[in-house]
Amino acid sequence: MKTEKQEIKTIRIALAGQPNVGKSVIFNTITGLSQVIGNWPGKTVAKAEGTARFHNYIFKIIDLPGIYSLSTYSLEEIVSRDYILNEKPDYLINVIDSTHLERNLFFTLQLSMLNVPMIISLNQIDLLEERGYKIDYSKLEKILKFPTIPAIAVHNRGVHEILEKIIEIEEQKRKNKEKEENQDKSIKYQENIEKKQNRVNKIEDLFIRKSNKYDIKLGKEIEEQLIKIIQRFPSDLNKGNYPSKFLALKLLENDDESIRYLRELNPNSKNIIDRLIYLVGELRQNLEEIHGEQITTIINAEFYNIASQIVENVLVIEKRSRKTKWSYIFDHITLGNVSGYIIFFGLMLGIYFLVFRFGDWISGLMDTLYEIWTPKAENWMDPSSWWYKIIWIGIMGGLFAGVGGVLPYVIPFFLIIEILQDTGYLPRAAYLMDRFMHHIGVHGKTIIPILIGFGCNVPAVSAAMIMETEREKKRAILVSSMIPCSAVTTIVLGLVAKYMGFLWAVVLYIINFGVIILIGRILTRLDKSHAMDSELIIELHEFRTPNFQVILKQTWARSKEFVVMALPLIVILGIILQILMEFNLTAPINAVLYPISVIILGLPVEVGVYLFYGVLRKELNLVLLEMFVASQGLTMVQFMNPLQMLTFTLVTMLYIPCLATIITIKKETGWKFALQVMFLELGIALIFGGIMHGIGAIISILF
Amino acid sequence: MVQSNLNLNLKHSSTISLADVSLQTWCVVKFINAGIKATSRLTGLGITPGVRIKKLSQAPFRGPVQIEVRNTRLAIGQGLARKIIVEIENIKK
Repeated sequence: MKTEKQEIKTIRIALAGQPNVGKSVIFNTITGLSQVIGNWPGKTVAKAEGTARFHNYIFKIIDLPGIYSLSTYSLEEIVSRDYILNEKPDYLINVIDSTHLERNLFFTLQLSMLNVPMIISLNQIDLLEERGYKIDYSKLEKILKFPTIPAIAVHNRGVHEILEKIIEIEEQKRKNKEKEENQDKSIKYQENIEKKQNRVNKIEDLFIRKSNKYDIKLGKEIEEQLIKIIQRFPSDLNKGNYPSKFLALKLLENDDESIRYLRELNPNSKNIIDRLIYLVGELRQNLEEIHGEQITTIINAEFYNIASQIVENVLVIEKRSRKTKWSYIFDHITLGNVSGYIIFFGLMLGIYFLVFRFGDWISGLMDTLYEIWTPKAENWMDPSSWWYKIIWIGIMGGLFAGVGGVLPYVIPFFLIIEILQDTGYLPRAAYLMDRFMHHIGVHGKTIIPILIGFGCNVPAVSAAMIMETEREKKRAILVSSMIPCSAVTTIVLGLVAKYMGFLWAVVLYIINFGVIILIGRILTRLDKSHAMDSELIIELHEFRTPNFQVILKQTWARSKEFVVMALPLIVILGIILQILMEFNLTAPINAVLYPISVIILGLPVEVGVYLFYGVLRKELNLVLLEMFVASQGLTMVQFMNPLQMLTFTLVTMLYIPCLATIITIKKETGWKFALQVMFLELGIALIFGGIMHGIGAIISILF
Repeated sequence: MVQSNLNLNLKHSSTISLADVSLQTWCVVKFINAGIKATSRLTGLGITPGVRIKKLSQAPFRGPVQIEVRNTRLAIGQGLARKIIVEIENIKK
């Protein structure tokens, strides 16, 4: 062996846990800034990876999506299970929210069946203590047989201890390796002792040692069935990465994913698999008949039964449980039948008012800055030269339009959404709006992507991925891509509200929402068969004081994504537009668009090319059009009549989501659905724009 | 004979759907009458037969119900709440 001390070892760990347990906080604390956020290959599930260096170890950490159980009814669950089983991380860190111990242990027990070394991070113990409870850590560790580390992750307590524990285990393993021979005997001896102990039926014996691993002991009835199933596994059965007992349990549960996996692994023994599945089916039927319940209910009840026994053994009541008064009051009024809605709509209005006031202010500052610097730029470059147009008007103009016109609205919006998310308000909005959402064929959870959509449709499309089924995801994407985002709002405010009055802006919003409801209803009519699937199930966790470190980090990540995607686009388009103008190429494009822009929508012919630009980024419609109108020495009022303004804005609101949104839809679901959304919304925009033009024309003839 | 009938009646009348339970009442889940998928999700969140749950609130216009189960709180859509059959807990207890 070489100089051992300097040798660097890489250890792969995976973080697993239920939603809202503080998993991401632990991940952020460990990895710092060295994170890669992406998607699981071919899946619409976010993947976060990071590395950390600690002593002589490099930790490669993966943050698995937050899930409640290891069933395979959602993509997140499939992704997590596949990762743990197939990639076999060296350690699994199971983050537990100690205030919801029972439900979290339900998941821990399931994870324990995957035969991966596990460490339990018992998080949020401060909140538990606030409520007057305490957990007997050493007893919990004794029962679960996994190292258990209490933590308050938001205060950076008990996080690095996890890594230290892993290193301790690794060092121990290395030492053990050296005296492997002796160890062998002692394990056998230990096994003998434990076999005797097995007869004692105590909660401490929940996990029994089998060779060098611990195995969970389920209730007698299920355990017997599992043994029967394992005995019936053919000797040459390829179980892949599934531990026998876990596979047996999943077969008993009739889990489609596991059956498919098994068939894939054993392509030549179809009959044997069929026979196995048939036999398991008989056992299942037998159990279901005895209990009068579905098999998953029986099994889940069994796991919960064990979890509640553990809780009884380790949870200590210190003083009378009392919720802190503030959170109790908040809780009550945010879910109240009247107060809940007042708060919800008040909050929304307040946020928009705040965001737009702030946005306007910054945006105004940026405009002034651009105007101040223009004469200086003209000193440097000849204003009539092509390169002045490209560099100053194209690149710098685009940058200022992007930085000044979009970011001041989008960043504060992201910040507020993150605060709402972190405090735990969003599920309450889902609860309040569920009934209404059913009118458009989705359930209450869709309110979350919709709210984000008001800021920007790009993160809204990503947020639509919290929906459970493929159909719900697609519907949520469609709806949230039709929500007027902040860019659209700048057009509505900057054109219609500015020249025609605020009331007309409201009219446009009403039309927009009306269209969304109409489309939702039509689609629901079309696929009635699935309408029953959509039911809200969401956890309402307690209000938390927001953790600003986490919020700022998330806001930064989202804004960065937006900047990277949008700014280069704006700059490139600015350049292309200047080139088109320079070489007089806009006229032919306008001529091609004539049937749409003039005949259907009744707009000035020059608008054509700008409609096209709005596809790339919606606010460019107005920003570039204003630049053009000014260059012609006209004002907006001279260029377009009120009806044209309304039609122009309505079409911009409704038609094709911007390029960044389309790219995101493609990323999340694929090209097919992205194109469907594009053409559907284009059609809708032309129809309603045409109707508006028609009605306007009739009115103008009549009066 | 008469007595057993009475028992049966009592048992029958006390099982109702979660949607029909009045607020702030503790009840015990008897069974879940939903599809495999929904049942799996509900039981995965702790709504298993025999567990005590309390209905905390009900959103207007037949909106979702808010319940407490195993020290956690969940919002469940009205349609699904109808499929969770519970027995109201004896008040004497």
